[in-house]
Amino acid sequence: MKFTRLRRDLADEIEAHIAERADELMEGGMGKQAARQRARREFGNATLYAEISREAWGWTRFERIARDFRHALRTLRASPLFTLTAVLSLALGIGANTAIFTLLYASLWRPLPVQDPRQIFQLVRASPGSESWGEYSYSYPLFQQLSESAHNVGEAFAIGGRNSQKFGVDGVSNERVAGVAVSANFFSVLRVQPLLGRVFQPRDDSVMGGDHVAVLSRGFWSRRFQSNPSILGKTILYNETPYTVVGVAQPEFTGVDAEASIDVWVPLTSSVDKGWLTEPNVNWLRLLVRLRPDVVPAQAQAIFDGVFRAHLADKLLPDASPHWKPVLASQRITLRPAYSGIASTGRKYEKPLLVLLGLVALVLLIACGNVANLILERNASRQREITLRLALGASRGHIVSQLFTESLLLAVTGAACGVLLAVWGTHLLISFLPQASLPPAFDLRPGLVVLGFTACTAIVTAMLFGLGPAVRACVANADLNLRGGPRVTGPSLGGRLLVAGQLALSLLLLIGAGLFLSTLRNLKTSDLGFRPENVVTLDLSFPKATPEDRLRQTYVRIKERLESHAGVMVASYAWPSIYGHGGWSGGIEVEGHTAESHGNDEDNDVGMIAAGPGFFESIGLGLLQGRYLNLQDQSGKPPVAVVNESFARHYFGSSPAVGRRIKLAADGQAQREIVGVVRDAKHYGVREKAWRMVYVPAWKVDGGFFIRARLNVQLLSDIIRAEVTATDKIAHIERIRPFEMDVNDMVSEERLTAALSSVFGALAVVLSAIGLYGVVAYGTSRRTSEFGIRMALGAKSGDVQRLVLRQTIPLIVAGVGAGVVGAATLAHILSAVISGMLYGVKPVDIAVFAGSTLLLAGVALLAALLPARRASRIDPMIALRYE
Amino acid sequence: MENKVNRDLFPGALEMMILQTLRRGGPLHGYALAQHLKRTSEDLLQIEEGSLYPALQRMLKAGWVAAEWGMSARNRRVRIYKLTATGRKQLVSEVSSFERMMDGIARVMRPAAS
Repeated sequence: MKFTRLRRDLADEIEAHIAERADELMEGGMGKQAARQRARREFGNATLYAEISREAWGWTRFERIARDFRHALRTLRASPLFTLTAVLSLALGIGANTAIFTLLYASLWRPLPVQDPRQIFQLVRASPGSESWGEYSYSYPLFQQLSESAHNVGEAFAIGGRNSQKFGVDGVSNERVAGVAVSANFFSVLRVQPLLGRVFQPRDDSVMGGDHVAVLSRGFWSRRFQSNPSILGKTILYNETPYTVVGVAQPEFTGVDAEASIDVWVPLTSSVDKGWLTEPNVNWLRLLVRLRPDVVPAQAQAIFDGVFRAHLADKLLPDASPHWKPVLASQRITLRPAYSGIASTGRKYEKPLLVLLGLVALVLLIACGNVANLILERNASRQREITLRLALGASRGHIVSQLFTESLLLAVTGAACGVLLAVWGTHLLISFLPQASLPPAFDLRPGLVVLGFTACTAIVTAMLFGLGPAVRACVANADLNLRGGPRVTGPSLGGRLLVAGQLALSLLLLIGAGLFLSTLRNLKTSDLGFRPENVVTLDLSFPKATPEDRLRQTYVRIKERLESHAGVMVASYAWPSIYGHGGWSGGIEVEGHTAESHGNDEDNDVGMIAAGPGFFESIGLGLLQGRYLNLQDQSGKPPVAVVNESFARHYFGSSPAVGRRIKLAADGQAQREIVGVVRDAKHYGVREKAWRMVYVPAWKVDGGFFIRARLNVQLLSDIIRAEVTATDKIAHIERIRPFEMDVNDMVSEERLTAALSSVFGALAVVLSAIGLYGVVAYGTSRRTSEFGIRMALGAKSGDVQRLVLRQTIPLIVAGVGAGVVGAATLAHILSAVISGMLYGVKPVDIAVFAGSTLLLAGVALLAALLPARRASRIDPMIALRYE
Repeated sequence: MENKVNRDLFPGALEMMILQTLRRGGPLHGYALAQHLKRTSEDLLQIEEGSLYPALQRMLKAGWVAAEWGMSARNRRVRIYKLTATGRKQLVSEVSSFERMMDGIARVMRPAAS
């Protein structure tokens, strides 16, 4: 380092100077000892001159900071217990903050690794007041129109759905990759360069049948192909279609989805049926635009919106069903900044994560309170040292800066440990997210921004807990009490206020945790209408060209073979999805029922699920009237359907539904007879109301299996694997999973919030209990002699306990009281934000408030009782001798 | 603190003398420089030898002198200083301002003409 070299050079030089002079004197006949002494005297104060010399380079300030740090290091090492406690509480607090910030940053705020990401915006199609009209809300023709109109303001590009796609080389598709289809200008507009070969060109994406070319990501290329440049020109199988690899994208670029790391990009037009390219009613695209630097977003938005409205009036509204017309007509296009790409997962978890960040900041505040109390206590016992140094002429500023350096060192050490904790913690957080077919792949490396956040947190923390005590230590010292020992009368008012504040904050956290836990419990115990326990789901996939007949046969045979096993009760299948996304929707006509006859313009749209034989039995959906669907019904002759309770009530009121006829839009003119009514089930998620549902025999077999069995999952999985392979070799098992996990995934946000807020709540209670214990224990230890005298004068141990408690209980009452008031106020102010996060519980829930208050008061009383009991067992003789 | 060390000299005087010594005597190490100053001033100036070093460090930083390690006549490893072009220019300007100052002082100190 430059500074140490400068130091050494100077020392060498000065030493040489003195030696030269001494040599000269010795040559003149002087003795060695005398010569050296004389030489030194003539030179003057060598240390001082060396210091002034170094000052010329402006290093002395650093030198002083370094000295303060060394001093701080020494003093901290001298009291390891204090240091460990402080560092540990800070590491927990700062680590938890960093973890949540990391996830927020990675999922929402990390800019795309492209040039000028702030010029990129997403086109959001939505009705006013609603979030968005689905994630994929643009058809190809609409994209083309918008893209043409964009020329004056920038350039628009489109991205299809990111998917786990079949992949392979040498003609065999047995791998899975993260793939996405993009418009040909995707790379050029984002200004992503090829690392190898080329990126897409406009002609790759012509409507007349684009070329089947693919670009790989750098990560995938090096992982799968060992960075072999001969990949260019090679043919790969993507989604069972041959593609030629034309390039590898620049390093770091993994697509525009924050939560996905894309392996393969293909052009839009090559990825879908040609029909989709001209069909204005199929929405499968997401649109982004890079605006020219001189264009105001509002100006571009007006242009896009205008084109969109024209498209609506021209193409979409004329054919729209009466139900959809008003929804479509109210839609507008707005521009949303997309410098971090399309952050769909981040947006979903933004609110819970921000609330958690707030909660964890409170935990850190409580930890700060503890450390501040520890330091106050420690400074009190160092009062003598500080006084002495002030008396010897040390400046107040220097002592404050030295004491603060200690705090800073504690905070920085805590932060360093916290970063390590955070790396582990973020992965734990990610595990709360649902397991999609493409697992979340956030970039969680702690980059500059995250480390900067941690550093700022550490510094602010150090100021919070360190500056106050440091200043106080110096100011309190106006009178020089050098002679007496440290005469401090118990914990200061500051310390007591700190503890009360900690209790109040803890109560806030406890109540928050209570609310989120109740929410999760309510969601988990709420009646879904079906029974997911003991059901395992099985997802299959088949090669694209498999004929429908063969699929149908295979499905029925798998069902039969599985049911032949002893522990398997029912196996069935359904399409498209029976939980989460629900069925597809479509128009319906009910015999003897018209919209007018009902007197309102309620829509005639219902949810539909294509159900295999035994479907209702497999998911445990109860029958109310008539019968379930059976194998006979699957032939479609005669056409039948089962409806749910809400459907029956809506259309038929109290008259029986079985035997009535309905006509589905999908069936054309044919009518179906209702053969059964089942209970309402929440196919669209636990928070949704039960929709009106129609279940029809599975005319399309494409969906997943539901297998109700008395076997454990492992055993059942083995059976399933064996039977599927034995039935049909081309069937590929995508996933076997307990149905309950799917159900749990639907409440992943609530699970995350509940789990973390409880951990934070527990942490807060423990921290503030330790704080309270410390303050009371310190107070009683300072009063040992007083208690000794009282007991010598006849006080009972119970009296001493009461004495201690009488001073502590007001503290607890004040803290808890402030907490209750604070929580109620906060709940009131934030009710708009948090009611959306709660389910079946109000922001001010009496049971939760009372339970949390009792719990905290109990823990606090216990923390106060321990030192009080110890104080009451003092032997008066020993106590007095101590003085 | 600096004032305490060179109480007898005006600010910049030591630097100016070092520059002049290096111009006349060529590259010198610290001890030789001190001896040179003492000898030529015939011990009239009370300069502590150590006070040379802060001045030398300031001049190094300003780029008026350059230094490198070499050997002294007594075969000891020493740092040898030599004048740079900037230092030469600095010397000229300091000498001229010094002369102006001396002139001014002399005028004030001169016995009244009338």
